[in-house]
Amino acid sequence: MSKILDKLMFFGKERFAGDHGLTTGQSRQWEDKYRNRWRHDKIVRSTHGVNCTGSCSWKIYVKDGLVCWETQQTDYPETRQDLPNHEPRGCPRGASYSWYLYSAARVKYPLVRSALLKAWRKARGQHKPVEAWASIVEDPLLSWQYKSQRGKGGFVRLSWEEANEIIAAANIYTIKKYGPDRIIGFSPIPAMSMVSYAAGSRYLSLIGGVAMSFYDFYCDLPASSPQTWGEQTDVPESADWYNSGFIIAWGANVPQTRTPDAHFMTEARYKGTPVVTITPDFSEASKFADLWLAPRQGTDAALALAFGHVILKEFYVDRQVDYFNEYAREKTDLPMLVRLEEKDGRYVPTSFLRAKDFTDNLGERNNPEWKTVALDEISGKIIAPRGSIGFRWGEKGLWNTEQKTADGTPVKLRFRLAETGVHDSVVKVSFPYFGTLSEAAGPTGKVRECRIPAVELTLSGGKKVLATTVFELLLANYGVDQGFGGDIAASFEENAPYTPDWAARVSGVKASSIIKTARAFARNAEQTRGRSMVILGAGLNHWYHMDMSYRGIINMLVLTGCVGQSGGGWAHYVGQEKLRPQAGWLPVAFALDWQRPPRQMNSTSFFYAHTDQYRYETLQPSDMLSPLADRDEFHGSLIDFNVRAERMGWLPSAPQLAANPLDVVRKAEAQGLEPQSYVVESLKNGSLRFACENPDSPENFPRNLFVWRSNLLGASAKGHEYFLKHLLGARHGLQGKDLQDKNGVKPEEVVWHEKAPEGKLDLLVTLDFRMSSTCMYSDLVLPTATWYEKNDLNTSDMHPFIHPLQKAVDPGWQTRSDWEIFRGICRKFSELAKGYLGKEKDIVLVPILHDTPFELAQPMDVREWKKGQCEPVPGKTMPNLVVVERDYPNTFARYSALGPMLSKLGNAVKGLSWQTGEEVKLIGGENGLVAGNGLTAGLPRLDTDVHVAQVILALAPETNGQVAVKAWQALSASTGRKHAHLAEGREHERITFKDIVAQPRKIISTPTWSGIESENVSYNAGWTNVHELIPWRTLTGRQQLYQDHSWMRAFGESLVVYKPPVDTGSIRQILGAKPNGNPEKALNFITPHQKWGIHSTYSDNLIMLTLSRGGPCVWLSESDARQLGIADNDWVEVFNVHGALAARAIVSQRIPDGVAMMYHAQEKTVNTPGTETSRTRGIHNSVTRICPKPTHMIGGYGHLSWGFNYYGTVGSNRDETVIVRKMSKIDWMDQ
Amino acid sequence: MQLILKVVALLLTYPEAVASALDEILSAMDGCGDVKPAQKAKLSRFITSRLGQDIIDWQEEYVCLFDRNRKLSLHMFEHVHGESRKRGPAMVELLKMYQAQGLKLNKGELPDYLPVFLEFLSCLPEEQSVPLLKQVAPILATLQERLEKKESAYAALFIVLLSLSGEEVGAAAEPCADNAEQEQSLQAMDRLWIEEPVDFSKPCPVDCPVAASCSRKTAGPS
Repeated sequence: MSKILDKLMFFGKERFAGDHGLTTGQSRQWEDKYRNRWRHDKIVRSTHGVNCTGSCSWKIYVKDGLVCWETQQTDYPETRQDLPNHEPRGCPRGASYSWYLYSAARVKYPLVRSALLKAWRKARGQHKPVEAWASIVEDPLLSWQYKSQRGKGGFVRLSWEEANEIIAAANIYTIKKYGPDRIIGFSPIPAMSMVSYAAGSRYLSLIGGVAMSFYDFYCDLPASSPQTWGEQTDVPESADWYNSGFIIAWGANVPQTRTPDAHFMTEARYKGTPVVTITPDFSEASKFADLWLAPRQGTDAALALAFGHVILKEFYVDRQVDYFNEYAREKTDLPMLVRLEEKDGRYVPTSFLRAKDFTDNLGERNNPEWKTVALDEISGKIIAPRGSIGFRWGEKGLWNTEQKTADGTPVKLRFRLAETGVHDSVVKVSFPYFGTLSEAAGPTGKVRECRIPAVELTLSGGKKVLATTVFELLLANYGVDQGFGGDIAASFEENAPYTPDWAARVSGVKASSIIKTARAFARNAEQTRGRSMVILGAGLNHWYHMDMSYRGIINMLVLTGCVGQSGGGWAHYVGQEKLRPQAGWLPVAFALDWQRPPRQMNSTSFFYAHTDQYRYETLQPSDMLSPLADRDEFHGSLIDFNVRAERMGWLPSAPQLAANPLDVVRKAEAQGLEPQSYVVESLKNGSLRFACENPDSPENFPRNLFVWRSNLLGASAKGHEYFLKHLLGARHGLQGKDLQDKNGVKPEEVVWHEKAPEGKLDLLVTLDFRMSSTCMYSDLVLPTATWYEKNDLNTSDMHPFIHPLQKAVDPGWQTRSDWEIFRGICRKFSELAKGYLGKEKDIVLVPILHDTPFELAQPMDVREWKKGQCEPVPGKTMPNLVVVERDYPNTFARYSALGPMLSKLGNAVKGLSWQTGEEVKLIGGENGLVAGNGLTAGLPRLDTDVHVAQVILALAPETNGQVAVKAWQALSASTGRKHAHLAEGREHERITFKDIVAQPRKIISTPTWSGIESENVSYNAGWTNVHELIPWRTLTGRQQLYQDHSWMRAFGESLVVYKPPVDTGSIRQILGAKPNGNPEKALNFITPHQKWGIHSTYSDNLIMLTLSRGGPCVWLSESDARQLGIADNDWVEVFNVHGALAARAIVSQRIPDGVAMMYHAQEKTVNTPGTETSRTRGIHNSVTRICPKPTHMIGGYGHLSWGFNYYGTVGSNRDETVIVRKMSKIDWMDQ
Repeated sequence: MQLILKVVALLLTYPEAVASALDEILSAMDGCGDVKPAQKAKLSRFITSRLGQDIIDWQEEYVCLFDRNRKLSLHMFEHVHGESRKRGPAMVELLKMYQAQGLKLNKGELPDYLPVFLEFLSCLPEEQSVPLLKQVAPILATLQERLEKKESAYAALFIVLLSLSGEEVGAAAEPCADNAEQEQSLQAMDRLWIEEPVDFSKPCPVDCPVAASCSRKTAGPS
């Protein structure tokens, strides 16, 4: 800087802004430093893919081909007057993501374990690839040599060419030898980076492999949602929190886990909305609460029932509210009639009465056994109101909830029977009760008897039965007295189920707080017509009996008319993340453009069987039965129930048959038989079995597993140590004995092997950008592009925008996008398949699927063909059987072109279908057509990730207005009502990839979802059901609070009840058995989502580690720590029969006594010593195990029919008990 | 000196191409006059020990040391900037330095990968390369020390580099961002991680050499 040179000679100084500003002549060269520091070549819009639920728009700054930093985008479309805007969206995890690109944790090259590579190269010297693979896996010593090295390092790099060859050879060998359904793939949350998901699932679907579910396995899937609504996780956008007049945040920690959305909750408080949080620990959300209720963990259902008790008593019995009455009558199953059957001298509620039960089927010719009935106040007759599931299939124009019968007669459904003159009698009805506190109930509960009003009805044939409404059953079940007496509370202060006083004893929450909260919640709903909301989350849903707390909460919302109203309703945000353009994505993701149906599997049941967790089961179904159940009918262990469910077509199977499905078709055709009838006959005579009946036999092992976009072993594998031992054959820390060693009762339906297999998988391939725990156990690790190195799409349920992920820079080192990786594998597979696999016929077992006409499969009783109770009929009493033709050598050609089925058969989602040839043409114009004269010549190209994104956007009604109009019209055909007006305003709008690159775009309203995208109403689930009179997709067509399936009744869950946490039997064998001199204590083990990781992407970068404890940690209460002699930051061991983990203790007032809390997904990759009991490194899932629940296996029954990530068994993990003690020796196991 | 830099660069890459060129390297070193005997001996010993080795074992050793271990990362800025925001701009600066010499970095590696840097130096005259090598000597010393601790043969390569730079082998290294393991006390850790408060009243050296490393200090004129 030079004074003389910088000084101006000819110009003076200027003052401005009223003398506050002064222009001087000084040099401004110093500013260049800033300019250079923040100078960049380009800004690219991207977001964060799978694992991040936010879908926030970010600016990625690129300089000289390198990502330098990211900042939040602030160009979201405005919301509207009186509603806060969305931005800025983002959180510290997102702001730190660019660190991963160049981190030392990054996987940069394809890696393989050296033991496998040595064997491979040696074999390749002698054989062609497929024979080379066979020579390794068929040699017990060779295969043991590389399998036993899993988890022990020893990686070397290899070329993509060689990696693809190994994978392709393994896949071809497996298909030929065992069948394509022995190749499986696990990838979660397709909504976040849906193209990358589709990359793998498209490949698997084309070859006949199996795509695995995630939502249920993560235990984020609330089974209560399909049970009540026939829909899985449709929720309000976060902006709608602001419209609420009363918010309960229950087991959800919004500021911590929904950081970019939390502002809507806090902003609502500025306009006077009270916030009540319900969490056992003092969570971040409670800082924003007007009232914090802290129930004992796992007792939430008791609390919800008491809230419901207060609401029913004060808003339905003591006083009636017009709005609630009207809502209950028209939008719920409360008026539907349930048969009361006399059994052992007492009445029990059984199934819904159907039109079929009455003379002349009440005039209903179509599906009368699927039409529920109610009393009409106007005519006084029994009628079958429109909207039940029987109207959905086989007839047109009557599936709606207009208050009419099929012939158009207006009706007014009666739900209250208490008035004199309305009921014929008052009878004593029995209800199961499972509470164990204060009133000792024994393990299987006791019976409550309540007196309720009933009507006498004459059925066809003249038989007389008693029946009552769901409303009357519900009132009695909640213990609300209408003056009829029985085991029922006279007041809130009485300790009887489910009064506030009772709930206070169970949950520890003061009765006065319960009454106050319930009243305020319902009063707000009354005054605002349904603007009370419950935001709820994993804190509740991860319990074994999660349905009970969830249904307790849903009942509160339904009874107060909050579902389907803006500012109200059920706001469950755990893991699903709405795949908004689902209809556009499905055909690409599951190759429906080439062949239908794909193979899909529910992961919980799959892993329960194939990681042999069932061999260690301590939970007995008989212990969970209702005291009213017929115990002889429900015998066997949990896996027996699952096997029965698979055979009856309720749940899917993988592998499917205990034979290669390609061979099955070949054999059938050799005998001149239809493959379907051949399979039915062989199953019936026992010459062919389901694979699930013998999961430990080598021909039924899953052989090849792909994991992508997932950290299966480091985050989500409930029963981590079982995975290591049985599936992988790796070193494990499993400490318990199986039923063989314990001499326990063996399963009935499953062939028992004295010794459980170890190392079932021949090949584990993981795609990741970081060296996760899953990578550490994989045979091959393929390096993927990060979220700033690929093109993709994101949608979320938190906001209505669709976002791009974009390739800001080329993938680093030798990394490739998931799309490129699977393309490479697919190309090699096709090349090598020639000579081994040609055009093959594959018989696929399809479970009875929800939203298809097949869901009307099993209307009344459960009958098993296996037991001779009925004939095996595909699609009716057993899975559907479909022959699919594979063209293995042309797999790559098919992969890379949009197939002909879309133009031929159209597109469909959730039971609606429409023609889509026009859109396919449009895509051809944009993506270009495949040239030449090959198999796919003239079809639209699918070469790049952008091509795939364009297909999704063009086919989906959410992003293509003309498709939206077609979809609404398709729905109109069923409902007989006009809906297209919801999309007509945007009919000519199309959202393309370029559009969303320019700005996040709000999607278009479609019938895929039950809310609308509008400038006047925020998105909220159930809105179109309430306002457009579209039925819910349940048996009754209403929000269904009564579940009449016989398994539901057997397990006492036809109405919501309180069930205490289950005893997982995890500590008895081991408490005190391996002493280290320090005291031990059994604590409940809780694993909520953390603040320092991107969900299960572990926070293994230094900044995040520095912000937290820098390694695994477990939170303990002060008094538990004192008893155990543990000080903050001490090393503690947490263990039980499943395994063990070592972590530092955080001793905090935040934590209630009796709980050990470990944040989800802290991997064993950073600062993790070995444990003293198991001598291994453990993670949070080392001390958990899957316990499936029989009621989640129900299928073939309307809304309780299976769907991928819709219904099914779940991997609950919060009932788990662990032993905690201070460690005496820290062994880093690095020698 | 150029040759040695190139040889070390080669030996520090993943043992693939280099494994079949070991003899070629040895004879090139023999024919080269300006290699110091001590350095040559160290390199020869490293190379000859690899001659009979199964290449997969060598590769496994390499991946285990350098690909899977943050503390031994061969990306130099891992040790300077860790995963901080400064890393991107710092790499850009480095890239510019290469470009200024007319060298364009091919796709596939980052500019701060040590073999990249060494190859770059091997293209420069000694009077330019030595000062630059000296600048990274603290990182080299840290890596050398950590490799010694692991009793890895690779430590020898770093000794050679340090001797080329003229820095004393074993000299106390500048504290790097991630040597917290040596700083056990909480106070020491705090000192290491504390952010300096922004002080707008302090003057700023306008021609601060690396903009990225002092962005906090460039707060403007007094």
